[in-house]
Amino acid sequence: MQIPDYYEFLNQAKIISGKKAMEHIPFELRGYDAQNPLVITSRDLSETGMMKKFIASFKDSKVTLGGIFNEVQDYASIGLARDAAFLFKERGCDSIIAVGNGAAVDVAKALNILVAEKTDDLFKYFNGTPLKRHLKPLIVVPARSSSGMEFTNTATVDNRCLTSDFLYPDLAILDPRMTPGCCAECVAESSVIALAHAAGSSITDTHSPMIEAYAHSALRYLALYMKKGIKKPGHASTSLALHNAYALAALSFSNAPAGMVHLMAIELARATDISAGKFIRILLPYKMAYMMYKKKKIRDELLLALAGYDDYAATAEKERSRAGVERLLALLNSLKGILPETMKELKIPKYKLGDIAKAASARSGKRYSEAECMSILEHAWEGKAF
Amino acid sequence: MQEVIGTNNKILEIDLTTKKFQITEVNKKDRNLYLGGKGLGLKLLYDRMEPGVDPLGPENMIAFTMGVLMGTGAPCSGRFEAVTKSPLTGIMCSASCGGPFGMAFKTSGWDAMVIKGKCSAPTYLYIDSKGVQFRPAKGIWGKDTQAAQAALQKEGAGALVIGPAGEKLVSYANIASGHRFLGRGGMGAVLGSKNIKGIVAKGGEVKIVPANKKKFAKSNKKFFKYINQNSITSGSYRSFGTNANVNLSNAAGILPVRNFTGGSHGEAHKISGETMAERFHTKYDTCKPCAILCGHKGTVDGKDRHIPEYETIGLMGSNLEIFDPVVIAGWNELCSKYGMDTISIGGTLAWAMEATEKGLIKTNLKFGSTAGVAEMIRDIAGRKGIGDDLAEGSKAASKKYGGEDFAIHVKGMEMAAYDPRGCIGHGLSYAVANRGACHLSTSLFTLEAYFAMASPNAKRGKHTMVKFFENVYAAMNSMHICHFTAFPVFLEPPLIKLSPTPMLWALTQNLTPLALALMDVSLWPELWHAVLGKTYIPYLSMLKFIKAGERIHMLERYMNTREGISKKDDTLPRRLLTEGRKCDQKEQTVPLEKMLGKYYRARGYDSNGIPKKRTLKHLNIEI
Repeated sequence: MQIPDYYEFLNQAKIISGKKAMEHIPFELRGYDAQNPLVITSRDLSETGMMKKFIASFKDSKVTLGGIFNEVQDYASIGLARDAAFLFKERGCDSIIAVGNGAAVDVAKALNILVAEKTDDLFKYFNGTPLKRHLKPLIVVPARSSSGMEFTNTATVDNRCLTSDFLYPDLAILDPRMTPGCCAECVAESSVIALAHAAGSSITDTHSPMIEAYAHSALRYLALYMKKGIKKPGHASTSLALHNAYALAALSFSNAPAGMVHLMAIELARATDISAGKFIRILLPYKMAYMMYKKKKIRDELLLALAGYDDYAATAEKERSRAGVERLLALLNSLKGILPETMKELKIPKYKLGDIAKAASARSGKRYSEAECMSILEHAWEGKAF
Repeated sequence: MQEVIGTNNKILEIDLTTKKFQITEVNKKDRNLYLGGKGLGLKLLYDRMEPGVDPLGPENMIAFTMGVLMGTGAPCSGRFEAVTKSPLTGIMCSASCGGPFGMAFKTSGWDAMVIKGKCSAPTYLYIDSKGVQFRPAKGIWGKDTQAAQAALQKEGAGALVIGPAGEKLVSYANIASGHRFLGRGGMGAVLGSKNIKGIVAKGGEVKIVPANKKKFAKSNKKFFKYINQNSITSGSYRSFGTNANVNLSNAAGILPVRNFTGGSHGEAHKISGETMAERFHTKYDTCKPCAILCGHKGTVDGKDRHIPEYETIGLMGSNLEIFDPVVIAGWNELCSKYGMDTISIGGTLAWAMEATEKGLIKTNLKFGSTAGVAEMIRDIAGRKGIGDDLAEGSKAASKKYGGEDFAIHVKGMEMAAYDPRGCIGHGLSYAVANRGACHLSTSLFTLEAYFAMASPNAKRGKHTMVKFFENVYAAMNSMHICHFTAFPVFLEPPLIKLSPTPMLWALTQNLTPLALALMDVSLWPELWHAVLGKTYIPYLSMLKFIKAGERIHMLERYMNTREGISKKDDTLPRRLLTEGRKCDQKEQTVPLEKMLGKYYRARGYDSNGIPKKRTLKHLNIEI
């Protein structure tokens, strides 16, 4: 184990996880000198009754919710962020709580820029103007099909991605009343996204002790709880363990360059309207196979994380890398029947792959060549081994 | 001249890559099961084309198919169909056209043509009864649709051409024949990708004679009578064209305003058919043969111009908050010359205006302003600047720039000019229509919003109605006969005509299957039978006719599911599902999810929207 010459790592969020975690929010808000939060959530979460549980957790506190903006569906837009900003100002709010996942949290992050920077123009930040100071207090309460992206330093609004260290939430609440998944498929997708993020940042050349610690823990939790979580999506303690894994994976992902699988899955999802998790399930085995075929080093620590100390120690040193990959594939194979295994199953036309490879390569800043991306996509499409 | 009894059944199969062709026949089974037109086109491609091909690749095929009525002189039968895989949506697409090519092609002795491959250089095809000649199109490549047709029309009785937009592979480029178009889904780009500028048919080589002349004359007479007594076909459409819909839509709150944020507007009367007829002294300019005469031209701004159709007026007029018919007629002419679908370009321009307003893109487009629109139309056709992105349609543009929540399309195809928040059954119809946001798959808005024969806001029975009309229209488009003949065929039989509207409303609302069972569409199969005689189906009953429509619809759905279509695609733009409108007394959205499940069950799809094997087997669709 060698220490890199140089690395950076940031985790800004305080995490409160466990029973009655949401009841801590009023106290934490006081710590930020805030008492009038605007809640951003989605309509479907309101309809499932989860928001009632969230609101009930404020019952004995002296905090008054400034408002609940529940117009977010599955798409974060600048228009929604502006509408929320209007409400924020009208109600005299001083902080933001995002309840839910994906789009709701992205809108909350965009709203935070608008109100903290006192601007109506988000575009300058998308176009490269850096955020230079802390924004308003942002609390996230992941719920249901969260994948951990809420913990990251990125926001995707109107299909534009913004990354800044000031976009990390200040506080993340993992409460077992909110974390249970809605179905096996959702849990499988969230888990596979976390798996790709953790594995991707763990095996990358730019790893650091911090990334390794976060990714290792994420992989360990996933190895232990993923199957159980899929079998019983509503199980409170299992879902809490998985959400911890998602958070760990997301934080390691935030501090490492985006992996090839992630980039290609995002582009495929954009082109086909099929969720990225499904593509990650398909692409991850091919990415690993490609690395082995190209004799790229896969770090032994993957086996350690997925199999535990005993199996790691019992495996010959030169076999550990391959054994780690096999463990990962076994974990993915346990999703048989829940997530598709081939691109053909999803009926992705082959002619679209060229554009996907080009876009993913461009998005990586050419860290991955178009040919590399295309090779993996083609093999995944044909279901052909390297 | 050679006489053909009924139909010739000859298919011209052309491989552009090898520059060879072969002649095959429509087999009896396909004729029985798929009738002709759209149904036959789909079946020909189903048998020949693999799923997953690139719509703009040489392996994509395009079929042009005639109906059995073409050339017989049956009312409103001068229409033909094209079927291909759409570059706009990536799924199957069919379009209908009333231009002169159909008659010329059919009277050259052909029933269908399937084109595959790609020419190595710009080419046009010359077709006569012997087959096809491949001729260089160097002199007409780059010309607009009118100039190209003028050049080709010397060589035959009817031509199909693409404009510069088709050459530049604009995803919603159309194909022109006369002043009519194979409008939707980017068929012009498919021909452009094959380096085909046009197709000209000699025509006049064969004469089509109905097998049972006496029966044909009797059915024809009845058909003409119905058309001439129906208030739409002999009244409003004949007098004011399809723009007679403007005032009806405005009153019903289904006219798209400002990118579907509103459903009516105080200035809508300025672009109505009634106003334009008076202002432009309109006269007929229609498909041939036609008994309805909905196509009009007039003197606009001192020039002899075609009056834009309702969809153009809705999408390039009220939807952009433009209420000057002279300006819209100019844009319509520009789009016609470049060869672009006015529905898709209107929807895309509205998206671009809103995206500009919200700061997502930089253009000088603005709702209510005509500035920059003509230039943008040119930029789209020429794929210049941001026009290059808009040439891919609103879905692709919103994927690139954001603004997906106000991109008004279904499955990538821009929505026609009927806002489904004022007619929710039509909303279901848009969501499940095979080619995208198609207004012609059921036209349920007429019953819900125009004729008060069904409640526009009630969910009950709408799945049954959508299924029924989809089946009927699929069969009708396979005859092939004008869509508007549905008005007299549905409304003029005595049982419907003499029943009070409130009673019909109550029936469709509460006893939908019974109400639909009362609909007598037997006139269409009667005509089909009179033309073909007993050669094919001993008697094409009304039920067999509707079942053929169901089969055609199902085959298209099945082909689409092979391309990846499923429940996730059977949806509506977010705006229509989540945003109410101020023009409604009580703001409402389309309760799609509640209707969709019932529709799937009625159709025999599984819960993911995929046709079940037993459904396909029941309809004799071989998989």
